[in-house]
Amino acid sequence: MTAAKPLTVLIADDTKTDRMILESIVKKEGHLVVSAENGVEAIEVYNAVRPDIVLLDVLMPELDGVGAARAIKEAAGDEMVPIIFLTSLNDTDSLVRCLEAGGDDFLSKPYNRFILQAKIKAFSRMRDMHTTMRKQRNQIQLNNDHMLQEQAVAKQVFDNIAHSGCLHASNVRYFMSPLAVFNGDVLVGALRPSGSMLILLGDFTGHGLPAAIGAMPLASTFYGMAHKGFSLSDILQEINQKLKSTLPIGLFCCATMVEMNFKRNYVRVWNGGLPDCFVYRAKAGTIETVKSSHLPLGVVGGKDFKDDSCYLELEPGDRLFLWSDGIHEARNASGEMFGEERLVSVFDKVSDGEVIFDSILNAVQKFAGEGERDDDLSLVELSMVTPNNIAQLQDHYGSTSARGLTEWSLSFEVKAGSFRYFDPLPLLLNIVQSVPSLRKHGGNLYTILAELYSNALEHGVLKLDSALKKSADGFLKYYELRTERLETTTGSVTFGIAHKLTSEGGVLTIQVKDTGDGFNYKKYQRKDGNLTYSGRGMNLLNDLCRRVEYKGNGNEVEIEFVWQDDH
Amino acid sequence: MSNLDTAAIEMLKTVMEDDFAMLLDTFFEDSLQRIADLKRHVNDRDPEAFRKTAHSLKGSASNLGALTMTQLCLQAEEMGMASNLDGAENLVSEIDREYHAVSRKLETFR
Repeated sequence: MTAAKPLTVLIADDTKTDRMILESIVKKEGHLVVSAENGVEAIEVYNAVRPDIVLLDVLMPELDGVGAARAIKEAAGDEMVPIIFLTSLNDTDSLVRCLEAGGDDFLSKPYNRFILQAKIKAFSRMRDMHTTMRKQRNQIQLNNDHMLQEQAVAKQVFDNIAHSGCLHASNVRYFMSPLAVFNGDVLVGALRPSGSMLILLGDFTGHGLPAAIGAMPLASTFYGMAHKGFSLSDILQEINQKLKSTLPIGLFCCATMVEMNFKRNYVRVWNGGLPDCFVYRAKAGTIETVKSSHLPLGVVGGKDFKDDSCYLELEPGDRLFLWSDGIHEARNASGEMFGEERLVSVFDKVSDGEVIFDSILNAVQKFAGEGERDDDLSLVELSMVTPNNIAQLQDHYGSTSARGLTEWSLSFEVKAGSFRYFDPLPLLLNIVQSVPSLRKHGGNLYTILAELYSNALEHGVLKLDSALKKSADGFLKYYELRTERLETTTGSVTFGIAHKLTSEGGVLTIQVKDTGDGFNYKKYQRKDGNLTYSGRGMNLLNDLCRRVEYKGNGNEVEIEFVWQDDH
Repeated sequence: MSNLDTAAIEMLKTVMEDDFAMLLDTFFEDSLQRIADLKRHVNDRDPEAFRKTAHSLKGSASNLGALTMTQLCLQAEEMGMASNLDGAENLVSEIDREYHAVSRKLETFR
């Protein structure tokens, strides 16, 4: 019977008779044989041929089997070369020396064909296993190196995204363990164009890359929207929707999101699945908690997701503490968790808000012990005080296009030849809605623009009397005249639109001037400047706008539309 | 007195096939050389060399099923190991005689 895979077997024996017998037995099994007559020759042949198995006589001239075995094992490195010593089994001392030199087995004289065959088979299998194991080990090593390298790159990419925000603002302190990002913790912060600050601390389920990967869409959505002026609710909705649609079921993000308004000293807190965050009232030295009252991000989609936040008035110097469960779940040597009680007691002990942050970290690290420190501690402190580097922070965003259109004005004149063919409203509405916060007011803004434009065109430029429309005949007449006059008119309508931000939101001012004769608005003017006049859509405009003011001959009107953050 | 393991020889014949005759020739050649070496080591009073040669001869004798010769060689090996070559001359003569007896028997398997 021949072996499935022929091996090369080195036979080193100085007795020719014994060598011949071994050679015959090995060849009969279908293996290849190379021979040596002494130890030195055995090493030479080994290095030249690299046989799979070595049979070594113990007593040989030049160099004995023990010396040859040492040299061969060394030359083989981490490759496995089974060495079988050829010896009589009555010499214990020499057996011990053979084992020490790296011998794997013995074959005693007289040689038994079946025993040798069995040994060769066994060692061949062992060698195959060893080779497979070595290959796999090298592959694992390679994969591991590769993974670490990828993690390093991923972390760098992530840091670049995460740190594009305002985490370095002077009122923000945070601690995240070096590899927290690969435990799924994420912290992002940005200033809105209005100057309020948005911070989101998230903790994705799971560990490793799958957990970290969700942080990417979260961070890019957050920054993309925050800088453009979107509100806390808008951003939460968008992130939730994005995570819901991209993450597999079971992967979601517990998060706390905070908006800090420094001008009016309030915060809004939305907590979905993270431990209660603490509000430290500096004057009283007390804490209040904001419990999680929502599902984490990425769990439910659409209308089931609730973005309502908790509103808190704060005083300058008050502090807000956010954390992932890494602090509560930090374990000491006996497996006990740090827990909320210990956390509260840190607050009880301090008399100065300034030291809370370090006290918490110290307490947790002392509790967990150096060696046992978990790698996913995330702690954030937000102080209710305008960052002293806010101008610099805002400049930074101003220089990027990410901020979106916020402060602007335009002047746009529709001339006679265009009236018949061109409706300026979609174009203007589109521009107005490039202010993110104005998007949700699209309906009202369209109504306002449409009223203003039709007043200017029909009553102003085309000099049509709205009284005509009161009867059916008049209505018809009105439109006949309209068509007729559109053909011949030489007038124009000019829009002047401007937008600016305020601490509470923004103001959109729209001026519309036509080349018509105007009307006597003064007789309808009330004390507050608004008109009691019910023509020209005046009631509607008064409802929608903070200010409606006619100017000049009444051929010029200016309205102010005011929007507020987060409503 | 000579003792040959004939079953072992039959097995060797199966393994060696055509090479069996050559194996016998090699064994005879080897053994004559080693017996001569043994005599020389006794004259040289070199127990270490005596031990090694006896060890080698023991090995090939055992492979050829020469049981008595293997036993005699083992005695010689132990003598060399003990560094006491008293009576070694007689032992070598005995090995020599046994070798010739066994080789005649081996010839019959050719």
